[in-house]
Amino acid sequence: MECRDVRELADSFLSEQLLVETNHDVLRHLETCPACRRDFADRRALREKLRAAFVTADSLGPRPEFAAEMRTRLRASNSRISRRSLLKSWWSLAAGVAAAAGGGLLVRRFDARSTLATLAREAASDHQYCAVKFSLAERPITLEDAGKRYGAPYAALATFEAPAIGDPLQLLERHACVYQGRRFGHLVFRYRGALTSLLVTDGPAPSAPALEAIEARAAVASLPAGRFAGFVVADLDRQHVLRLAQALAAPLSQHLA
Amino acid sequence: MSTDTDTEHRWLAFEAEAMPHIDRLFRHAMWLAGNRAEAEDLVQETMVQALQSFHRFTLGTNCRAWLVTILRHVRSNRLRKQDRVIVDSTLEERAANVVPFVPPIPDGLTDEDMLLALREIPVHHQEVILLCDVEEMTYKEIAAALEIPMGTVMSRLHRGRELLRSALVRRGTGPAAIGQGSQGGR
Repeated sequence: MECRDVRELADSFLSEQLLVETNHDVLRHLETCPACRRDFADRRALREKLRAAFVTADSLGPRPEFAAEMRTRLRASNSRISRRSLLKSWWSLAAGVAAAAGGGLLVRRFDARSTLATLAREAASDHQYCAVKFSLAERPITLEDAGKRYGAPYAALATFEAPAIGDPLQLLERHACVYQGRRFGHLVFRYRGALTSLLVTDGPAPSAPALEAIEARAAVASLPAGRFAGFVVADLDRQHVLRLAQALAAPLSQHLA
Repeated sequence: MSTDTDTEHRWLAFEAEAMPHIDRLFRHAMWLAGNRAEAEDLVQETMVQALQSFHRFTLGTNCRAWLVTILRHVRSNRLRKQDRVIVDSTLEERAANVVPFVPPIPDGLTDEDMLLALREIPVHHQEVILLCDVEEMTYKEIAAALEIPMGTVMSRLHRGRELLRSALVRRGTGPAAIGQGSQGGR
C-alpha cells in the first residue's frame, strides 16, 4: 500500500470501519512510514479534541436538574403507555380467542421458539462470516469495549473459561461482532479439528441445550446463557455440537448470572 | 395479571439503557436547536417516543445511536411542519469540493474554537462529523439516521473533515500544530 492509498483510508481506519484484512494492510504501512503515522496522529488528535469540546462545553450541557425532571416525567408516561397497551392487549386477546378458539395459549411459546430459530440462523451466519470467512462488514471489537458500551454481560464473556471436557477445546479468539444488525459475544474455539463458535446474544434463553433444525452449513445447538440465548455452531457432527452445548450450558449460565 | 410487572421491567430496562445518554442527547439537541427550551422539548419528545417503542430496540445494540436517530426524526418532522427548509446539500457539497490544500492545525485552540469552527462548515458536513466523531456511530448507523447512502456518509465525512481543518487553521493563533501536518509520504 502506498501513502496515498493509506491516507484515503485514514478516516475509515480511525472510525474502525475497515475490514480486518484492510486494517492489517494499513497497520503494516504505518509501521514503516513516519509521515503517515504523523498524519494519522493529527487526525486522531483532531477527533479527540472535537469530542472533548462537545461533551464538556458548558454552552451545550443540560441544566443540572434536567435529567431528574425527565426521569420523573418519563416514569409517569410509562404508566400511561401501559394502560393503553393493556387495552390493546385485551382487544388482541379477544380477537385471538375468536379466531383460534383457545389456541392463543400456544402463541407465546411459539413466539419464543420462532425467535430462537431466527437467532440460531443469525448465529450460524455470524459463525460463517466471522469465524470461518473473516469477512464481516463491521469490524469486531473487544469484549471489554463492548462491555463498556453495551453492558456487563459482554465484559463477563471476556473472562469466561470453558470447562475441561473430553476433547480439547482450544480458545482461538474472543470478541463482540455484529451480523446484520445483531450483536454477539463471540468465542471461537478449535474443537475436534473444526472452528467452533460459542455465540451469546440478547434473546430468550432456551430452557435446555437443544439442536436447532435450521438450514445451515454447520450444526447449531442452542443453550441457556444466563438470561440470554447462547449457541454453539460448528461444522461437525450434530451430536458433537449438542454435547458441547450441554457441557458449556451450566458453567456459562453461572458465569453470566 | 403481569402488567404492573411488565411495566416495571420495561421501565427498569429503559432506565438502564437509555437514561445514561440524556446528557449527550441534550448536547446533540442543543447543537441542532441552538436554544435551551427547544432542546429540552426535543429531548423530551425523543425520550417519550423511545419509551413507547422500546420493544423495538434490540438490547446489546447501540442505544445512543438509536436515540440520536429518533431525535433527528423528531426534529425533521418539526421542521417540516414549520415549513423550514434544510439548505440544499448539493450546493454545499459542490462548495466543499473546492478545498485544495489543508495546512497543519494551529495549537492552542480552545474547545470554543473547535465548536465555532464546526459551526462554520456546511450543516450536512457538520452532522456526519458529529455523528461519527462525537457520537461514535458506525457509517451504517449514520446512513440509517440521516437516510442517505453509506457512500454519501463517507464522502461527506472526508470533505467535512478537510473543511473543519481549514476552518480551524483560519481560527488558529499559535505557530505550532496539534500534530505536524501531513507532509511527506511515498
